[in-house]
Amino acid sequence: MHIKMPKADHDILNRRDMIISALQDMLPAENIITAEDGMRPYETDALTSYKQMPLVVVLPETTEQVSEILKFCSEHKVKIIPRGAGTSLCGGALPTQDAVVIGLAKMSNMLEVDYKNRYARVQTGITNLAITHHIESDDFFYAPDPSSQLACTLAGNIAMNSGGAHCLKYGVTTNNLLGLKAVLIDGTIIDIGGPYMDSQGYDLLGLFTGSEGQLAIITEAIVRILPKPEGARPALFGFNSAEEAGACVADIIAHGIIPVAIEYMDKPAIQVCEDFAQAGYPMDVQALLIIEVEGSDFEIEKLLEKMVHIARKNGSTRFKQSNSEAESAAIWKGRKSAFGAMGRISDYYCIDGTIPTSQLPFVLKRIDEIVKSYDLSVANIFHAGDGNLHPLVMFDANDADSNLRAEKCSADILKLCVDVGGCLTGEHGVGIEKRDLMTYQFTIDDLNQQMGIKSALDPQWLLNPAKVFPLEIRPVLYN
Amino acid sequence: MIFQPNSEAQVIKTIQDAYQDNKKLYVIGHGTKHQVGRPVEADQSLSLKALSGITNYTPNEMVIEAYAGTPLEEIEQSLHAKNQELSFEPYRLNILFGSHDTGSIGGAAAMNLSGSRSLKTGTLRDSLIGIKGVNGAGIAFKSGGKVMKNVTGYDLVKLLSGSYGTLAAITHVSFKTQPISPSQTTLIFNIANHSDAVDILCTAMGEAFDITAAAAIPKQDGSWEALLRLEGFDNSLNYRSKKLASLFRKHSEPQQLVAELSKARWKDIQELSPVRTVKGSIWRLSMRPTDAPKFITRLEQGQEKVKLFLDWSGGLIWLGFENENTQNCEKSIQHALRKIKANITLIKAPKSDREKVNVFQPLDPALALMSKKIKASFDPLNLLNSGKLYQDI
Repeated sequence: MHIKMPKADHDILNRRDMIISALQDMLPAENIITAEDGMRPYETDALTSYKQMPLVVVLPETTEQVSEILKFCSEHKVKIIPRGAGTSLCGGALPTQDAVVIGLAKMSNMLEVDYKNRYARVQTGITNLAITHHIESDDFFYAPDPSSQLACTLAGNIAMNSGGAHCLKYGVTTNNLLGLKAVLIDGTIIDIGGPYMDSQGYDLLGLFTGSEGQLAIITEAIVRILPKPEGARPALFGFNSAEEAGACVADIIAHGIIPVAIEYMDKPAIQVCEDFAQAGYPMDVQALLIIEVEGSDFEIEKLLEKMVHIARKNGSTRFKQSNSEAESAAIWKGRKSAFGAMGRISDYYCIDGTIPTSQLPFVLKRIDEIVKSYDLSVANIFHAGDGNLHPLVMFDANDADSNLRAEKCSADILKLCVDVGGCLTGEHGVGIEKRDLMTYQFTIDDLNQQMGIKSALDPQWLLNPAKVFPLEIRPVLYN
Repeated sequence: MIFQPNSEAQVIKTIQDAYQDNKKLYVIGHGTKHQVGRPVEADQSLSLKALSGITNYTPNEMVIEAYAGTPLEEIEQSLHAKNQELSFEPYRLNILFGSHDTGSIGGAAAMNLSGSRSLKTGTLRDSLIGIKGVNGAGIAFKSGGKVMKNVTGYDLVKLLSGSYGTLAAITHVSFKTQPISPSQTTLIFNIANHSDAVDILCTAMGEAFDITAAAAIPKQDGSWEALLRLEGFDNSLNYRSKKLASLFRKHSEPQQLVAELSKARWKDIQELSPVRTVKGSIWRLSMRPTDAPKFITRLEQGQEKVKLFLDWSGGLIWLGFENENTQNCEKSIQHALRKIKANITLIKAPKSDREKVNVFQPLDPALALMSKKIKASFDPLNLLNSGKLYQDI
């Protein structure tokens, strides 16, 4: 627990009653939570070791209400924490005591679906998976698929530019958005982009996506929807070493094949996921690739044939393909439940660095050494096609020393990712978790350029202020 | 005066000096497409042409990095040697301006220069994963990097892509690449009218054919061709071609272009053949594909003689006018659009005309204000390509 949060602004705390009263004029009573018990679920997100009770929680239902709230907060210098479903693994939705949490959970409507033009317009409080649920009976889907897709909201996905296992083929959130409706800190409502590719002026869609709720609150989005492939089939390829698995991934790509997903698990991860999902993962291998291909049965057969050949050439000892929808579901359940399954046996930090894929064997070796040096253990899961690592560093949350060691160990692993030419976060975001490491990846000039945009659009730094940029380098200092 | 630095340090020095002296700079790559955009009034030019060379190409990681002045052609040749390509298939706009130089990779990034396959894989900005630049105060910065998945900090990569050099002089870029498909085939359906042609494109895009380009081109007799490109392994192409053909059999039996013939046809589109010979202005409009037929009908009912074709399943319309009065062409477009929402860009017109019409789609007041604030955060004295996009931007 060594990540510092700014001290609460007592002036705001003292004005809590006035602030609540003003918010009550804007929203129905049931959309404001002021009691401690009611606010408890909002005091943290999926980075549960950090908690702070917010000033008040509001759950607006319209863009206009969000606008009114922001205008008021801006005029009264009240900080705001935007929140989707609170599944952030990096503390992106962690409140502060002097901040109003704006939850978007009540803004979850599907507003329009247009199959001919292949887009859907939604309120951003909708969950990721609900978008697909709305359109799957017409054989369409929304592609980005973070593991938390059952719970996480599109709003959070946009804030963090979330990815998922299938983004190797389909891209991440930013590649699947066409337009946004957003509310700026002064309450101005803006529309960016539209229901077609290419929007005018600067690429604000690109800028806002991944800005971690610091530039605006996004209330609606126009997302690209895609026709479902005729079929999809995951297959399992087992190897005796990480090196062989890594070489196999490179060789598949060199043959002109980009599968929909290539997921990697090491032995500890295989064990935990198999125990949880009974997916039929081979237990006698050191490394496992889950590779999914799409198309008709005929196309899938042909692609798998090619990949089996490539995998054997690279030392693969086990191959198993899914033979039914149920088997496919089990294979993915194992992978997508990995974090939850790990949570059953240990507390853990889920790391999210990305590395150039050729560095994989070296990085895995170094991770092992780093983790051992902190007297901890690790399970490795990652998106192998794009080098996005998710080492799960296990620790005991009830032991302060173990917790601190795990935080330091995680930081060392992230620094390693930067050292080999990668980055601190591939899809989870910076939040508070990686905030103080930003100067390791970026120069002060790099960060000043980013913070210049923050200051231009939110001069008082009221929107999700304690995140992303180290507290000591920002132009607006607190306390 | 033209500065042509060959190192990042010299770019920094040039801009710092301009900043000290409050001199406006015209930032260009090779200058092959510098006539796109509003006319820029500048005291000096800053050409990135000499800042050239591929700095890293790792085929197994599907990443290529280069200085901004590196010729696009050099990048593409290096990729082809390893059986890879840039997925976004950039249009050869240089041809419109009489140049055989395809321009620089940095210039392509500054314009978000993207072509037919963008329908499937996204535009240039979706492949651009890292950028280095020097802002209007002469301060160097970077964003992104050389890995494909990266959400560390704000995405300045996308912001700079398509910013036409108004925020920073781009010095270095990193792109993800993709393997060239083993083969390709294009199905061409002969269709009576543009409405049915767009309908075919949209219907095909809504099915699981994995189409990588969808265009519609008018023929001299007034009928249209709907083109659908498939890429992949031969056996898969055969399977998908047959299914596609049977889906639209009621319209026509498709003509099929295989391999090199297919490539040649799309190269023709990449070089904007259907519109490039006009005497007057050339425009591009993006809109919802299903709005395109109504727009075209109205446009063709108007007085201006126009050549056109559709890409991106009908969502991108290229227009070339014979009339050399650009203002009248703009009026025709606006008249045909009426309430249809679109993003209009004037790509080619004489300089004097580009001062009189909207070269880029006008911004709402709130977006214009925000864009000015963002511009000021990069370029406080408004020195870089001042006015290229909009008044003061």
